[in-house]
Amino acid sequence: MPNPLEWLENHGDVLYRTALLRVGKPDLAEDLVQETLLAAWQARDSFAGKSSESTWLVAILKRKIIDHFRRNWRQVDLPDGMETDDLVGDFKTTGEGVGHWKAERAPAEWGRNPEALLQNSQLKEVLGHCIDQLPESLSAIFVVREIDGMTTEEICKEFSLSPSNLWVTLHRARTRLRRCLEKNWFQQTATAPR
Amino acid sequence: MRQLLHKLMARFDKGCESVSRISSASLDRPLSLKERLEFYTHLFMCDFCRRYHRQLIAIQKLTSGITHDERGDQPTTPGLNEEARERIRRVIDPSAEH
Repeated sequence: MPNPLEWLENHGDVLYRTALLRVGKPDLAEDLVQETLLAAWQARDSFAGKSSESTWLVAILKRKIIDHFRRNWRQVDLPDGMETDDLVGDFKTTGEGVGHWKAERAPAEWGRNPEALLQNSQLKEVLGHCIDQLPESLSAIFVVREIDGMTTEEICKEFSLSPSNLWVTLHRARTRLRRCLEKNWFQQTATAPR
Repeated sequence: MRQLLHKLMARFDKGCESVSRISSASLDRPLSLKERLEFYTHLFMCDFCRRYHRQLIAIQKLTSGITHDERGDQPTTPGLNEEARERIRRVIDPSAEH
């Protein structure tokens, strides 16, 4: 006979980390773990034992997270200023070279060895903070796409988004993350004393 | 010859802003022929957009790396603290239902 107290004991940490990685807030991650265990207890008869208990619980949790995102997510028609800041603020709008990078906003060199970057745990930590700082309208879409690997068709269906709105949302999220990493990691490490 | 090529390409070029959108879209869907032409001819000419594209790919791989680390044997974030565990225990304990 399954027991939610045993689930909490055996899988609580995995569930919590899975939730925290996606929602970024410890209190909310704890609430999602609790909701998941309650939902699993109510649906215990449906657990056929085809997957492991942990996989089954994580699947319920992921559904809860998507439901949370959907409840709180709204497609914000941002005022012109924010749109400008996110996507156009990096580019010249007047004079010579309209539509090209502004010198002060152009991408800096991140190093010649991108593979080395991928092993850097401190950099991943900074990226995690950058994701947490995204507004929920962007982070929800970025998380389901890049962390959960949902297809673009699935995301459009879940969030009632048109494909073109999805591309714009992902572009805005990536643009903000790129800028955040450049400011909080690459500029910091470039100026740090060696 | 190179200058002539650049001039020719520049005539069809819509600029870095347009290419940054295509760069992000390329991570989510196959590009149309028109987009591919615009994208690759522009990258040939523009160091900044090449960097931008490499950086978006790096962000995608780093994000995937974070996910992988969390699932591994040595996750970097702590688990549930005892206070939260106790609070959840009180709510989910089936023997406390009645």
